[in-house]
Amino acid sequence: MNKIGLLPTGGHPCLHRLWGLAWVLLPILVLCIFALELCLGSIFIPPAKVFSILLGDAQAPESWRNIILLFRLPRAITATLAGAALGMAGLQMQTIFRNPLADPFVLGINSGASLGVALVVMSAGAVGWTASVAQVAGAGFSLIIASSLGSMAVMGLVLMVARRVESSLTLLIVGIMAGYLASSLVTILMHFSQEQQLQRYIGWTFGSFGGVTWSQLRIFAPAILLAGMLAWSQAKAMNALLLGEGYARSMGLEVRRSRFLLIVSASVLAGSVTAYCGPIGFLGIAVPHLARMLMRTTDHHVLAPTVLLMGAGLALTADLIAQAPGTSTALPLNAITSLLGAPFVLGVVLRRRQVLEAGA
Amino acid sequence: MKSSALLELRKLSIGYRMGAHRDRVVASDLNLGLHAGSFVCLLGPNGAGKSTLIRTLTGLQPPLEGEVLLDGTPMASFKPRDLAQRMSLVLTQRVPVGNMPVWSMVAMGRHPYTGWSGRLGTEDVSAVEESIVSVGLEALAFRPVCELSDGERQKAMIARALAQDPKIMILDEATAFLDLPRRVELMDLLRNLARQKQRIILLSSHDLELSLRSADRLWLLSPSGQLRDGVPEDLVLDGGFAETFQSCGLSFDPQRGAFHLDRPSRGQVSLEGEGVANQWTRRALERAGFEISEQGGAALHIRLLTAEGEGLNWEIAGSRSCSGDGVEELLNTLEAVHE
Repeated sequence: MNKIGLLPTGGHPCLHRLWGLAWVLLPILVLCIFALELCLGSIFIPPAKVFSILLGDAQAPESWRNIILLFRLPRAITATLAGAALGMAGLQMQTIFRNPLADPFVLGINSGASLGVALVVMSAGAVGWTASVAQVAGAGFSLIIASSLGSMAVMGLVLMVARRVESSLTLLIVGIMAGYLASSLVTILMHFSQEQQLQRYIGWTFGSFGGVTWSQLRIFAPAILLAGMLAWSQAKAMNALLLGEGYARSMGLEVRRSRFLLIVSASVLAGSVTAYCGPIGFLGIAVPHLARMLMRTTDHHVLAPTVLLMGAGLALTADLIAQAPGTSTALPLNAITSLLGAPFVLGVVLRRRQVLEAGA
Repeated sequence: MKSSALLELRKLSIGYRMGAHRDRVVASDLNLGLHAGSFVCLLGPNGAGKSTLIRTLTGLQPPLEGEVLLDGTPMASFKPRDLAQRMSLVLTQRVPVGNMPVWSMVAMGRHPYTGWSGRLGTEDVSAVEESIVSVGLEALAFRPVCELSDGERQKAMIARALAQDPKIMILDEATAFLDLPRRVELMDLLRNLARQKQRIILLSSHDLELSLRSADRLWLLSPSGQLRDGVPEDLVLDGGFAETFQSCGLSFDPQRGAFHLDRPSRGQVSLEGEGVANQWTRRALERAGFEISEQGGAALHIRLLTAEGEGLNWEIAGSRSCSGDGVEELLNTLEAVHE
């Protein structure tokens, strides 16, 4: 038998060099942006000071310590986790549905969350129980609960269907219809609500990494880490699903089980981010494409860590820009992710047409 | 020998379960055995249930009754992974896999053998390489699948199926979109693959003439739900082939192993001449609706005077004799004579 001559992992030697380089550079890049996020903001804090404050320097000015430890550090950690989560969830959805336009919210998770939040924000005062929930848990926390419940309702519906039907397309339609239902309910609520409530709801839809406190991170971080690990563990299944469900089954994949696990993990990732940071668009759809283009592969064992790193890096960058360092204003995060990201991705995609065919 | 069938259908009934007591039976009581090392084509008119049979054999759809035995074990008792190590699949539709190189695509076939991380061992690597070599794609091993031609792409899918190291490989109309030379090449490849590694390769196809020529065996599924199994020539000689594809306006000519449309005859002619010229002129005459009398003695006698590769010269003897060049002129002349 003639040998074709390559590495046992099956990639081209050139690709392995590329990947090796990326594994070194990407984490360094993410760390640098993370550090910048700590230094920049409404006021500039020198990197050396930031470093010593992180190490527990008690001599630094009290205000700087508060800014770093109470605001910027949790914010940076939130952005890192959220970006990684959205990137991964986007990759999963694009692979499950073999559709390059799929994003983490394609199954209606976002709309469910929006409905939950809209119910709390706009019916506050009108309904006694929401007011009391808000008092008990604090206003921020009640939004998180409402949003999680909303996403879980949609996720529950989709998963119930997923266990019964073979076709992913049916699933997609169920998700999209659930999304429409939720959005229309939100519109009705908006119609009957007051200006102040509307403003609060719209503020939530802008998205922000800044509202997450340390105590909330204690729930957010483990949720993301666990779901992320579950998603990563399905890399082999995602590879098989690239060829479609028929081939995947013929190669011994238990399609329904894998798809169930993938949807659960993607939903937890996307749902948690929406609950804590609001509906963050764009990252979830763009990061998987950028990862595929950078690594020049469709192998999910390579793509999974790449989307985690790139998602984190992009989320941090977007947040950095949204804060408009040096000024006291801040722009809506959601606007920044798309405003800067869309032309960039458009440019890259148009230059390399075949990627559109990638589907996953 | 009968007992050692690699694939066996036992009282198999296929179709769709519509409700609790309402089944739509496509074919029932199928009993067949297949031995290793044969290339089998599954033929049948549209709607006879080829796809249903394929779906049942690959486990995508449960049988209504009876069972499929694989190496003597009921297929339903295999775990998905174990089944994938014995049976692999090639489908009709193109899979959009973007910039995935051929090598990686073929390596996917090792899915049922690798562990959680999907890492390929040395055995897996050599299986992948052997598969690529045996379909003749080694020069394109690192080319992205999306840059391949349809024929090459289908070969890559076959290599992927081979990498699963199956005993049985099932191809669902896998040659449908290819041009004739590519189809001939692929059929030849499949027959060799079946022989070399003692596999069963089952191809469902619409290509009757090519299947008759290439397959070791044929399965003929007729709309009445009957499944005939046999060597192609036997099925032609016992009339099974003609019966399966029987429909109005079309009949099977066992002489030439091809179908032709039944048309009202426009009269008898006899043809004299040799070789290729005779064969193609005959075709043209038949298409125009003339009956060729083999014994001679028809009202019109056409004599072909030609050397190989130099076009056709002909002359008509009979009531109105004349001569000319080319089939077109011959047809026009006959048309005029017929008026």
